[in-house]
Amino acid sequence: MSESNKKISLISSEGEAFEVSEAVAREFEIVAHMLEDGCSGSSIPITTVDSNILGKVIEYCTKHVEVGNVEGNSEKAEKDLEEFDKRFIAVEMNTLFSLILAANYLNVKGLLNIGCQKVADTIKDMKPEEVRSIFNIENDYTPAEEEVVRKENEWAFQP
Amino acid sequence: MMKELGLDLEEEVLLRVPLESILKFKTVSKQWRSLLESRSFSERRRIIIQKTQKKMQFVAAALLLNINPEVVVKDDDEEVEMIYLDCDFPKVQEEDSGFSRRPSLSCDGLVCMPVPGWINVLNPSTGEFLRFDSGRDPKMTDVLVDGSRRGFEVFPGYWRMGFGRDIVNGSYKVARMCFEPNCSYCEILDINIGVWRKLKRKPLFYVGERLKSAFVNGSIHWLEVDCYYHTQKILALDLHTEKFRSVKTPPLFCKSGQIANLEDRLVVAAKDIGEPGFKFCIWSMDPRDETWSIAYSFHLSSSTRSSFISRCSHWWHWCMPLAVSKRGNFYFYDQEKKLHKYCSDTGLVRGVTYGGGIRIVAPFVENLLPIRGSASSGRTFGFRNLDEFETSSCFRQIKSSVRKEWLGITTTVVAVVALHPCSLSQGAPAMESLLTVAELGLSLLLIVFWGFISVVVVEAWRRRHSNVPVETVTTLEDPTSLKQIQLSVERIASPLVANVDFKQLFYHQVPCPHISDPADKYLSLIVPAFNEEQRLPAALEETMDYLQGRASRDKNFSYEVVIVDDGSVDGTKRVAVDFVKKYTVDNIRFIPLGKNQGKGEAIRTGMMHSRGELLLMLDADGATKITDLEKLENQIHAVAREENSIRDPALKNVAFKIGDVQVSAFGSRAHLEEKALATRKWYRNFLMKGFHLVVLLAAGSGIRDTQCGFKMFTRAAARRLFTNVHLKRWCFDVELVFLCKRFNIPMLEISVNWSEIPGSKVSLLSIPNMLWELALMSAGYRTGMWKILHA
Repeated sequence: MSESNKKISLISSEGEAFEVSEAVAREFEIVAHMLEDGCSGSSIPITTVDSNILGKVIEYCTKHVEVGNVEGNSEKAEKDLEEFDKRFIAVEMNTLFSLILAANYLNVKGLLNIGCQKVADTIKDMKPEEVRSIFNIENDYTPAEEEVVRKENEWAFQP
Repeated sequence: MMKELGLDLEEEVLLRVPLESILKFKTVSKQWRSLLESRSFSERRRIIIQKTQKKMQFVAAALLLNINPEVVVKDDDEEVEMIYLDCDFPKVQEEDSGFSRRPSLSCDGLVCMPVPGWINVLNPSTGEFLRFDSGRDPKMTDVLVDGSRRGFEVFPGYWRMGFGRDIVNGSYKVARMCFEPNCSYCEILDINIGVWRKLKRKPLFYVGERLKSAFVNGSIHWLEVDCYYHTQKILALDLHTEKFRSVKTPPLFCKSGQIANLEDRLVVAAKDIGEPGFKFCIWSMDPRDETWSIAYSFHLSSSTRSSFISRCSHWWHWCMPLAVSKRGNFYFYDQEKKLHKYCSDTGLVRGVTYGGGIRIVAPFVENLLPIRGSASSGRTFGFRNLDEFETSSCFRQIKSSVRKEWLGITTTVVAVVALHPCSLSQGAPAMESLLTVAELGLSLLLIVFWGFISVVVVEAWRRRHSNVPVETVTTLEDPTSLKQIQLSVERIASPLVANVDFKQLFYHQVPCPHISDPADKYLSLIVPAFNEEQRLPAALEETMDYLQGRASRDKNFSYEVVIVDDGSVDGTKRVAVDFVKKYTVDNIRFIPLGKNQGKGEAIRTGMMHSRGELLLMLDADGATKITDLEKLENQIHAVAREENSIRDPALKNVAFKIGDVQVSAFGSRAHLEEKALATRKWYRNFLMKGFHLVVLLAAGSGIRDTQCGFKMFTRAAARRLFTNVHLKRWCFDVELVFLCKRFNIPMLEISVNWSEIPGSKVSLLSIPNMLWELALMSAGYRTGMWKILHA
């Protein structure tokens, strides 16, 4: 247990330091790799993530590490964790995107998964126009081309 | 500012949306589309689905009229989801008792359905549907004469079919083998190429016709079981090398053996005849060393047998392995395409689907890759468009399964069922038989009535856009000038040209006007002509005399005659073109409709492309005196003046364009009615009265003689009316009356001279057509299916 007591500070893009236990920091695969590569300095700069988001990601990892450490009663714990994930991910789209980007950069698989799933659930019933505006995608179809593609697939979303 | 995820993370998101959304999101951008149709996306998605999907999915093609999908699936563990495709196999095959033995070929989620004359390949995930001509069938030797043949000439009979994917280059191929005593051969259809190609190599040995094939690991496998000599063989065809080879068979004789692909392994499902009752063994082959072992074996207990076995004789029972669920339950279907499962923990077999009617069962695997077949085949999307195909199967997906017309039929069935217990509860047996007769009659009546109503509703719905012309005439030929002009592809493709002889393609073309353009003539005469070679010239000469005379007297009078050829098969076209040559294209115009579409449609087309302030339709036979048009004209002017002054009193004395006021004048023969009543046969009078009554009911009162072919409209009125007309044949007149009332266009009924000219096109057969059209009109407008456009 001595190892998990070791503290590491993660430094956000604003320069704010977050002190976390090594076990939590290892949830960030990118950090885990750095540690394995012998980069054992006590502070690791994470320049692409701002404090707000980094705090959230750390909160997520801390919770998951905590639950992972508790032995027994796993069913209840799993349910708890699911509840936590649900609440954790219920944020507005912009924050959600930031979380996904951070999770992708830090390589936190679980968070990336639930984040993407949340976005998928949100957009699945949207119109293509709405989806374009959410993802800031430019429509590169000519109206005629778009019509063709729409026609080919329209049977699928007609009641 | 909104953050952007970038394509990699967008892919992560898209991997997690449902299938419908994927299809929908192809329209977001080209980049997304190519991502969603890429192989890597498909493969990643397959992994995710395998991990997260709880239910196993099967796709079943069925005649949904016989099935209520909600009640036929009975799966206690809810492991299975059925995706039904409504298919409409032709009637002939419906009666074929061996129909369910037709091949059901599938590979990677694609379903290949050979039907007589066609090979259909459907991707149920994307709705992509390709059909290929199945080409020439081999000449058959007489089955009865040739004793070695088993007589199972169920479609596809002589063809032993197979479907699979070339695992090296990824293209899908259909293979078929033919075994004739003197020539056996194999043909392959590469879906990307679309042409059958005969293989040089011949099949190694004979394979019986009733057996199905299995695609496993790049090869199609056929099993041949000879019940007489108790021998069995497996023939394999590698779809890449196109070489045949023989594969080891299970060590025991496989009675009623069926070959299949189960979890990417070759399996043979065999019945063990040594056992009392039924015992099935599923042999599975290890692909590395071609050794066989029993994967499942189960008895059918007497309770399950009743559902499993029904009308077939014992000899022909078989089971076809389909899939294994996550819990290890084994799913298979029987000779009637009913789905069963064998629960490995309880050892019991249970039915999953009930009821017949299912034609094809296959595992459903999501497959997002476009098939993109060759251009020579038909390629459509979705399941509804396929209704149009004349023969063979049509598919619709279950989501839109209960079509409107079925509601009526269902109601009738319910009504009949409801009637039955009522009659039984009545006491006396004598009464009962009487009641049964009455009940039968009543239910028949109900069926007919509901059938008619539903057919009318459906047809009205189908025609809801029939007022929008399919093709628009953009130019008209001028046969007087033989100036050669460059042909554009559209011109050749235009249906207008299709039946005009080739020389005319080089005629000079004048732009074709449209009713929404401003008028540049005073009067347009629209003459619909169908096989009027005899009657047209006389009538037209008379008309032209009058028009030319009037034009020479009155400098402000300009006119045009538009002859609309309603697909005549005699010399009408020649006669009309002669007139155009004689009087120039500015005065007479000729519009061919191509195929016969009905008087209403001919007049509508003429109206839509005329240039006059006043538009007059008249019959080609000249039954009305042409000078009577002045009567109509004067009345229209009078009413128009009045209308105009009511609308805007200040403009009372200002000149106005007659074409901008909405007035219609109907020529009428009502004044001749009394005379006609006296001289005609009683049944014609009866029919006439009946028709009047029906018209009264459908369109309302106001006009006594709706059917007279002599009607005049101002341009504004015609624009409004003819953009809305749906009916194409005799009853479009009634629709005009109805629309006039709807739009509050003043209708004047003016008596005209009428002389009966022999050769009327109205026959007794027109009466049902009229009634039918009237019924359509009532249904269309009353239900609001026919929208009224305010042009």
